[in-house]
Amino acid sequence: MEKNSDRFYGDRLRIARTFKALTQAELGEKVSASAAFICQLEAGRKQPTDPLLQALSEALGFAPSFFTQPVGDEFRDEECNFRRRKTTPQYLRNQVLAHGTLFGAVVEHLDERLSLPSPNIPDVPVNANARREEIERAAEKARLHWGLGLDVPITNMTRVLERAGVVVTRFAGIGEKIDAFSRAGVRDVVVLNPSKDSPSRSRFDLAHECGHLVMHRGMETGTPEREEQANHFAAAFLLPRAGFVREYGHRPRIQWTHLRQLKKRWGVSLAAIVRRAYDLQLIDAREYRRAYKYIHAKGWHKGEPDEPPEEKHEVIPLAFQALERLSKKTTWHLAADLDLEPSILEKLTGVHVPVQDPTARRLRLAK
Amino acid sequence: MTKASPGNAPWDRHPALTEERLRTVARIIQRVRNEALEDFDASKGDGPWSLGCRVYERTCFAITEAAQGEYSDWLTVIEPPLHFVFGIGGVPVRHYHGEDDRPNARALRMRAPEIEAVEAQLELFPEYEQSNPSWPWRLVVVSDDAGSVLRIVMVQLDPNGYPRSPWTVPLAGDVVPFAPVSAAAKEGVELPPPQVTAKYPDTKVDQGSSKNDGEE
Repeated sequence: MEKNSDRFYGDRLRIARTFKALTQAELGEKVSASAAFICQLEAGRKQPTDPLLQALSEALGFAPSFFTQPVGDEFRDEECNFRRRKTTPQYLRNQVLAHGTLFGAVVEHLDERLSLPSPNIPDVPVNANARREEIERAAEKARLHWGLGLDVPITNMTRVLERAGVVVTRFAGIGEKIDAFSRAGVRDVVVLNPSKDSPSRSRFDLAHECGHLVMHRGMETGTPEREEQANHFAAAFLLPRAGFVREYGHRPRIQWTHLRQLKKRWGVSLAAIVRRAYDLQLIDAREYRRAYKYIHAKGWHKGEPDEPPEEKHEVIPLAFQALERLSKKTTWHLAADLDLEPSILEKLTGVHVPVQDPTARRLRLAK
Repeated sequence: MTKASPGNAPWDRHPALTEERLRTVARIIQRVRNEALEDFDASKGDGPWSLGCRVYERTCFAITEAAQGEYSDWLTVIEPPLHFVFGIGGVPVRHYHGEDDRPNARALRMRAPEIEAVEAQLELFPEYEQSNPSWPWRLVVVSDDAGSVLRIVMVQLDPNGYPRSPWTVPLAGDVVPFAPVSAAAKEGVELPPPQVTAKYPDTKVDQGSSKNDGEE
């Protein structure tokens, strides 16, 4: 059997397979190999023949050259801040981590060639038993650090993070079971799930991940306590007590028209506003429960009215534009440089990537 | 927030019911509920019933473990499940999930082990007789509709089922709500877009040919 001449990296096979959410057996079936053999390939104990490499490439939708490059900075489960870690199936987490690793390679490539916003996340560590007042202050410190004031709305949460050096993206097609997640690293990354389709909740997700990056760097997350802290941070960051208490006013009974005005101004879901009002003792437990039931009765837990405009992530599209301007390389070329199919780069970044070399087409037209 | 009036806190009514002990038990209850919620999976058929059963049984287990371990000097199990009664410094306490101002009939029910524990307390602390020691103590777990703990309240129930001297256990503490004196609502800070520039000014980014250049 003819052996593949380039070195084959099994880790890359594992990443491509989990990216496609295939088991070893499923992949084996597609390429007429046993699950055990796929396992050996992934572990680096076996090298594929050229025909098998070609078959793997076709089955997974990655060019053969993709498997001949070492994996750079891999996203690992324990490094990422996942919510509902215990009930999220491992295969889904692996799939998202594979997306993350590939996206990380894109970011690394851009970081080497371009000057992206410098990392500027304040470090305000809190322990697992921190009191709510500490979380509140952590959110206020972060607001002051970024010059956002203590009593005004955040007009663009994505921009807050991106200006602080965090790269934000949305992974399409990862199902609804995965919430947003983040990973603290040389370059912090926050990933949103576009299937949620609620801009106000996406803003809250971003603020939640921001809380992890500010308070939990280097700590284990995913525990109920840490997730609760990140939720509290998000509420305090988006609805700071100074501004919220003033604008909520004295209304022990909820007035929904008023709440909807607050939602339009602060860009936060009605559910989160009600919870914030309860946490700040502006309404009592009974009123909170009544409001919660009202939200369900109206069906707003599945989709609220008065959603703010969707925030677009900007750094990646700007980086792609800069790359094209400075080196005449389009996203299609970038995908080729990274051994990625254009559709995969598009899925990872949410930016349209042409399936064919657009410059070649321009040249042909010029001739 | 429900606060006991001065002189009416649980520790005023019985010296064994200290704030620290009540906080410890409440934290156990909160932790167990949070962990059970983590395991909750509606897509696999979980619902309020399975959640409630899991929370109750796990809470009894966690309190029993604590009573046999770290807090054995003041925490005891008076009656094991299903009618679970534990003792804080000998004072019998039950916990239930619901409303602190509207206890149901089951919350009032006292069985022999609890009544015996109350009588023992009367003999040991006769000076607290005016505090109605025969009224049952209950830790009430108030949650939102998703099951997350909103608060945990220690109450004593009178013979008519009315809660007396409710005291909300400070879990992670409260947030101090404050607002600036100025009444004007200001607009948010408009941030400029992030900047992406060439890494090294005056130098072009690597223009090496792409692997597929020219291929079509």
